[in-house]
Amino acid sequence: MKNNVIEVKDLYKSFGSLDVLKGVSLNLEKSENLVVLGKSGSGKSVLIKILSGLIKADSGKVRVLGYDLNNINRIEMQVLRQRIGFCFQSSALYDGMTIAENIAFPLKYAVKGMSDKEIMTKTHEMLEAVGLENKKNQMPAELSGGQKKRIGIARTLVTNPEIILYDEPTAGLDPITCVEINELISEVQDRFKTSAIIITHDLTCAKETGDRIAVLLNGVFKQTGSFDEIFNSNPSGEIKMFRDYNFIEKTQIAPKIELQNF
Amino acid sequence: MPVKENNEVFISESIDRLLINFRLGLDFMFRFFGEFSFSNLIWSEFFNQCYQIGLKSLPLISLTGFVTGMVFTQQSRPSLQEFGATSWLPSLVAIAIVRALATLVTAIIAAGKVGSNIGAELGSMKVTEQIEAMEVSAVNPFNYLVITRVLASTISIPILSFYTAFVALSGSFINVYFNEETNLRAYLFAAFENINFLDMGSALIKAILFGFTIGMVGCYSGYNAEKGTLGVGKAANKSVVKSIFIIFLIEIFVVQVTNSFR
Repeated sequence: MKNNVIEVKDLYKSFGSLDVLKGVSLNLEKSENLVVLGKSGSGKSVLIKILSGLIKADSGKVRVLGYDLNNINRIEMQVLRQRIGFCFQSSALYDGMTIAENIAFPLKYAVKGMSDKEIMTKTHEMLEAVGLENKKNQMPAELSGGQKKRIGIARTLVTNPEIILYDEPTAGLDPITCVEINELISEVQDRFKTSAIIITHDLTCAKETGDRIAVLLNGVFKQTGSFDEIFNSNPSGEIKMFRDYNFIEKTQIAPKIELQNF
Repeated sequence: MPVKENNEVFISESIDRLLINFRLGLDFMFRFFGEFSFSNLIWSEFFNQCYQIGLKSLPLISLTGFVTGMVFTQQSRPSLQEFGATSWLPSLVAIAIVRALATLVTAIIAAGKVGSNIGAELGSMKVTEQIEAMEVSAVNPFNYLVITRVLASTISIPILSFYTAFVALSGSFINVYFNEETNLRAYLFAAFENINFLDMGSALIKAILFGFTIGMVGCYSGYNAEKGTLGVGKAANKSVVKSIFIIFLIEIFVVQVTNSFR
């Protein structure tokens, strides 16, 4: 067995009569970026919410950093959560706090024994890492979508997590900002040696950030491998549709807009 | 095999929902008592909430209390004048204010101002995933958001109630001073002649229960807000309606118990 930080086997989750995950299995190796690619409503976000302990699975084995999430007590969960980070699709920044307070929040209330000076230094370091040190006294409402994503990533990194779970990191962003966020995700992996699961439906994001891709369709993984293995080797069925849709979106719509402006 | 949720209806859908909500509300309250401890209390947030709930309500409470005292005195005068008993005005007004009006007026205003604010704030945090963000940061959101607010409300409302009583009696005194030319000393003597420890004690107990109710209902409604902005409005509305309903139930109960000791 390789050095797996996450192991999931035969995971099932339903909401009422809706079966969302129907026997999902996956492994995440240390320092690996795994992209989970899938349509909206395919259960991607549910999967990482189960991995972070926000939702309980109906059945199946889930091990994160050696902790069995089916048999974990509250104290162990608190310890585990300090070792994993979660970047929300909406960034989920605290509206009532400044950017610096947002980043300092986990250090102040989750990590014990840090002085105010240490918290300030670490906060400043994280703001520098995401290139937004000049925004520290602003409120979240004053930031753009891309800046909010960066602050979300900074807040996640501040506790030095071993695993980061990104939920649609490029959703709702313009193409240039998407590229910047993709670069930031790869930079985080190189600089902080983190492992990550990146949930997305954006093929560019998947290609730029993923060491390995897993395609989740209708609650099961249809295919797993490198980007080229999945999309450049004559895919069929839904995976082909997925690829074609993404390429249409990126190559055909853009020139139309250009012509209109012209 | 995955375990599925049981959607069986027992009595009728609406009664089932009412009973389930009642049960969940009780669970929420028991969770408060289970998790509350002074050693884990986040004092900075607690003092912030005392400021928001207590100090920021002072202008509204002052105006309402003063007008209540003055108008109640004005409206009671004609009836007493018929029997030539206007000298009883201070005593009548003081009994009404200390036994019922001060705590009720404060609680109803606080339910509208504080309860709706807590419900909307926590509801908004819930639907924008800020509560989940706290949870995955290894910060206990219940401790940070609920315990601080409920405790601040439980402590602030009794203080505000006694302040309301003071302001209402001031309004009453001004009215009596200009109409009956009674001086302050005579007014106070007449007013407190018939006020005893039971009146003060029952008012204090009621105010504590009202404060606890406003905080608890506001937090419960916000914490369990449904998805979407509509859920935020509903949470704020539920906070006010349910709080006022429970406040009147408590008022009836405490009055019955107090009267049995007279």
